[in-house]
Order: sequence, then C-alpha cells, then structure tokens
Amino acid sequence: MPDLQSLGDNLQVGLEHYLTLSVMLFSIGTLGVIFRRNVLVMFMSVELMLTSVNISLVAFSRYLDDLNGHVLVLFVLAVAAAEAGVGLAILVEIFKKRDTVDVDEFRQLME
Amino acid sequence: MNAYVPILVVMTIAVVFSLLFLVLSKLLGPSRPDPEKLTAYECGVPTRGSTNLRFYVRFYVVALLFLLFDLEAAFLIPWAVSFRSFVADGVGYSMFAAMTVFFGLLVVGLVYEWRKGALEWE
Amino acid sequence: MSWSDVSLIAPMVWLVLGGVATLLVDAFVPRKGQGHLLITSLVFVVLALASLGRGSDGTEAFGGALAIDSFANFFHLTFLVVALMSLAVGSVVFAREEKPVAEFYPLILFSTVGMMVMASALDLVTLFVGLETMSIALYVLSASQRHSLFSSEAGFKYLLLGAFSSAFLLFGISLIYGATQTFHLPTIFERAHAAGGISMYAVYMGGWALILVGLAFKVALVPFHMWTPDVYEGAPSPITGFMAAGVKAASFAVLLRVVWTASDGFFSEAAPLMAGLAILTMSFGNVVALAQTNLKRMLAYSAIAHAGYIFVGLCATSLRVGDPAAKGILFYLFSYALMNVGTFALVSLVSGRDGERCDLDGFRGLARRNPLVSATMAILLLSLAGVPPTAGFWGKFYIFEAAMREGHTTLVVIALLNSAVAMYYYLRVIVVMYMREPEGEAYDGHSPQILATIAAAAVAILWIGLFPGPVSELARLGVTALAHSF
Repeated sequence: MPDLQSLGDNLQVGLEHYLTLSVMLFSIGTLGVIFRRNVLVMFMSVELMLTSVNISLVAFSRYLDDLNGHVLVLFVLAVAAAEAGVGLAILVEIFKKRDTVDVDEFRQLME
Repeated sequence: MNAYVPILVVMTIAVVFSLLFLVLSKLLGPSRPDPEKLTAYECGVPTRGSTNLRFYVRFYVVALLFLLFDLEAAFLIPWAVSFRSFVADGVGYSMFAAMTVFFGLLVVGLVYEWRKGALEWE
Repeated sequence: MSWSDVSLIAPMVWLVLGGVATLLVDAFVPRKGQGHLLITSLVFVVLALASLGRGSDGTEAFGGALAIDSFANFFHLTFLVVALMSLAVGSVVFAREEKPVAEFYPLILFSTVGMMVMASALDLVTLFVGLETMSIALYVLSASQRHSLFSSEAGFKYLLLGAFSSAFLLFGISLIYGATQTFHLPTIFERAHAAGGISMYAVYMGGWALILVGLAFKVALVPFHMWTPDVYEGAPSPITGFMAAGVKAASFAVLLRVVWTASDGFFSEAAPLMAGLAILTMSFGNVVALAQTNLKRMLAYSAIAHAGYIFVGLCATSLRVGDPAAKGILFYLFSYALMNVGTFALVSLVSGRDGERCDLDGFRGLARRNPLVSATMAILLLSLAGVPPTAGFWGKFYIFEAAMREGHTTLVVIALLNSAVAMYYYLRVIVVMYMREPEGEAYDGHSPQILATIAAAAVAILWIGLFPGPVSELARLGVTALAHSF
C-alpha cells in the first residue's frame, strides 16, 4: 500500500502537465480531423482542438500571472460557438436536401 | 542531438513491438465472429424500438440561437464584475459605451431573428 | 478607449453600421427586389471609402490593438474596392435565386470589416478576431446558394478546414504568448531582440511555425490547399471572387507583419522551408491548372499558383524601410484583387444560374456573340498571366526583381518558368473565345451592373499597367509605415 499522503505532497501539477495535456488533446483532435470520415466527428475534433488551445492559454496565463490569456480564451469560446452554429446550420441544410441523416454518405466533395 | 537518440530508440521499440503483437495476434488467434460478438458492448436493459430518433429541425434552430446568446453572457459577466474598477480608473463611461455597443449589436441580431420568424415555433 | 480611437477606425464603423442597417432594412421593409438593400450597402461602403486615410505612421488605436497607418490604409482601400465590386456583381447573381438571400449584403460588409481588422491588427488577439469575423461570414456566403447541394457542401468543407487551420493559428498564438508574455507584435519583437533573448526559445519558434501553418491554409499554399478547388468551384462565383481576392490580401497583410515581427528568428532559420513552400505552391498550382476544363476550377488552381508568386516576395522581404519585395507584394495584391473579382464576375455573367456553363465550352465563340465582354475577359486573363502592359505584369515584375536583388536567383527562375507555363492555360481560354465557332446556347447574361463592374476592372488594370507610378508609390508608403511599427 503506497503512502498516498506523501504521494500527494510530491505530486506538483505544473505548467508542463497542462501543456502536455493540451498538446495531447490537440494531437487527438488533429488526427480525428484527418482520419475520421464522419463529418460530425470531424467537427467535434476541431472543437476539441480549440478547447485544447484554451487549456494551454489558461495555463500560460496563470503561470505568467497575466490576465490577457483569459481574454483570448473568451474570444475562442465565442468563435467556437459561432462556428458550431454556422456548421450545424449548414449540416441541417445538407441533410434536408439529401433526405437522409446518414453522415457517411456526405461525400460529394470530401476526397 | 545525441540527447534525442534514446527517445528515437524508445519510439522504434514501441512501434516494432506494438506492430509485432498486432500481427502475431492476427496470425495466431482464432477468428470466429458471430453476430453477438460483433455488436458493440453495452450494459443495461436491451433497447426497444429504433434508437435512431429523428429530432424536429426546430430544435436545432432553437439550440443554435440559445448557444449564441448563451455565450454572450460570458462577455457580460467579466465586464460586470470589473466595472467598479473601471469606474475607479476613470474609464467607466467609455467602458459602459463599449458594452452598450456590444449589447446593441446583440439586440439587432435578436430583432432580425424575430422579424424573420426564427423565434416562432410553427 | 476614447473618442479619437473610434474616429480612427471610422471606415470599419461605417461598414458595421452598414451591415446593421441592411439587416434592419431587410427585416422591416419587405420588398420584392433587392435594390433597396444594394443601395443601402453601397452608401455605407462609399461612406467608408470617404473616411479612409486617417492616422499617420505609427498610429496605434485601442491601446496597441490596431495600427491605423498607410499600410493598413492601403489594404483597407483594396478591401473596400473588392467589396464594392462584389456587392454590385452579387446583387445580380443572387437576385436570380428563387428565394433571394438578403443576408448577402450584411455578410459581405461584416466580412470586409474582418479583413480590415486583420490588415490593421497589431496584436495577436485582434488578428484572431478579425480572421474569424472574415471567415465565419465567408462560410455562410459560400453555402448561400440554397438550392445547390454543391454550394452547401463547399460551405461546410470551407468551415471545417477553416476552423482546423484557425486551431493551428491559435495554438501558435498561445505558444508565442507563453514564451513572450504578450500578444502585442511590436512588444514581441522588442522582447525577442532584447539582450537576454527569449528563455523558452523552442516554444517561441514552434509558435511561429504553427502560425505560419494556420495562415498557409488561408492563402492556400501547397500542401495546405486541399480545400481550395472544391470551395472555389462550389461557392457562387461572386463570392469566389470576393474571397479569392480579399482573403488572400488580408492573410498576406498579416503574414507580412508576422514575418517582420519574427525576423532574425524563425523566418531566417526557416528560409529554405519557405522557399520550398513557394516552389511547391507555384509548380503544383500551375501544373494542375493545365489539366482543368472547368473555368472556375482552373482559376482556383491558378489562385494557388498566384499565392506561390506572392510567397516568393515574402521569402525575399526583410525588415527595413521601403523594402522593395514588400512593396511588390502590396502592389501585386491590389492588382490581383481587381483581376480576380473581375474574372469571377465575368464567369458568373457567362455561366448562367447554377454555374452549369462554367466549362470552357461555354466560352466558345464568345467574341462573335459579344465582343465587348470577350475583350474585357482577354484583358483580365492577360493580366493574370502577367503580360505587359497590364497591372499583373508590374506586380510580378516588382516581386521578382526584388527577389533577384536579394539573391534568390533559383526561386526567380522557377517563378518565371511557371509564369510561362501559366501563359498556356490563360491563352487557351482566349483562343476558345476568339477562334472557335459558337455552339448551342451559351452566353445569356445581360446585366448592366456586371458589365460596368468588369469594364471598370479592365480599364483600371490597363491604366495601372500603363501608369504604375501612383499605386506603386502608395504601396511604398505602406511598407514604410509597416517598418515604423517595429
């Protein structure tokens, strides 16, 4: 049985940990966009990338003790919402024309 | 540059071994698929009827409108919280004007939606 | 924020007011046609044009968020001209729709504001906000032909890859912020050139690399060009012209600032990489364009090639007052904007409602049917090819000459070879127009607005081609102002 108390004392979550998490999420998102063929999943992957940027921004902001990073996070959130709005609206439009909700048939333009 | 050689070695080993095991299990393992095995693992009560429900398109419109106006609150709250310090710094009026412009643009958006009938259910 | 800040950005304020006004006019004054919307939006663009030219070199507005100097003003002028022409052309094309898209007018205005913010951005946050204002409006515009599945899919594809690229840009911004503790470009420059340099050097360099990738998507450099042909083809022609001209100009404005901010650091170490990107982009764009029979697709690949030529200038640019390569880039972007909006206006005139006659065959014997239209088309194409005496020639000349003087001989030779290849597919269109017999139904556009727009573009191109002095001087002033902000 390891001593959890001392483990907790030694475990220091620093900038590197946040950045590692952020880079990992960013990579997962990138790979998702590149390899997944389902447009909704691709879209979610992009949102994941934006979120990972937010993590790194907040971590830097905290580490540098500077509020500017938080400001950009707010903008990123707003932009992500606007993009989601536009994207879902276009998707609904496409599905209406195709008479199907099967995303995988959405192939006219995707290579 | 030499400092990176161990990393390269580790990466090579990782790739080689994972590929090796993938190939080995493909070659050696028996493969007898049946419908039960191929279904996604789920727990709980078996579902009744189709789970592919169609949502009424109106829900999307309402959700989209909500999403946009919801996030604007994220801008209003930090502004409201720090408004006292703006006043203390003597920039109260201009900050108030800035938020009025922002809010005015939002109201224009809302008015447009209302006139275009996006807020009506039918 | 103070009143003087607001008056400095008067052109942008006019455009935002114009967008709001057209939205409200559309909502409260329902009419059959769209003439009232067109007039409302044009009035505000003209007001914005009239209020241009504020600020002097080194003027910063909103605490360093925006620079209102000759550099920004040069680009603001370009964007406003592009918007003016696109509004005139688009109003005709969108009026053909069964359900006219009234949102076209405010969206063009908002997108133009985004471009103007980008050209002025002196701060990475402002840069991001401007980029997204421009892009999100464009995603909707690309998808705005509601009867066409092709247009919707083009819009979605543009959105997906646009968001993908802005994620890279943002990650880069976040790394730069982490390494320098600021978003303000001149401050970043100062800190990078301070005695100690930057402690997190790797993070700093990675940040610039990611920003370069994000912007390379926007200007469609190979290998970040995958979206370009489909989106350019699927989007309605006036929108394609607007985004090919506007997005490219805005992104190169940003790239110039970025390259100068990061000078002596990332971009000097990455010089071979940049030259490689330029060569790849030019060659790929031109070679694939050779094989196209659809005019819109051909122009899309030629747009990629043009991004490559301009990138040659970016490789040769360096932080100094009146840098000739940067001047060439500005001149090129201005003349390219005129040619591109003109060419796509012409395509929408000839190709009919759904763009079904975008094929080269649609242009067969156009000279017989309408000599005026085919003559303007010939001027526009020759300018795109860079034949003197057109504006396109001087753009290429300024950039290649500057690159030559900087010692990028190989790059210039490859660029010249590419221009020769490009000549073939531009001339092919002219040959089809003048030397083939007309076949079946083709040319059906009779629109005074579009005709006036393309005639104005062609005259301007010839005028600038014969007298490049004034525009070149404006570009030089712009570059001087740019150097002052560092």
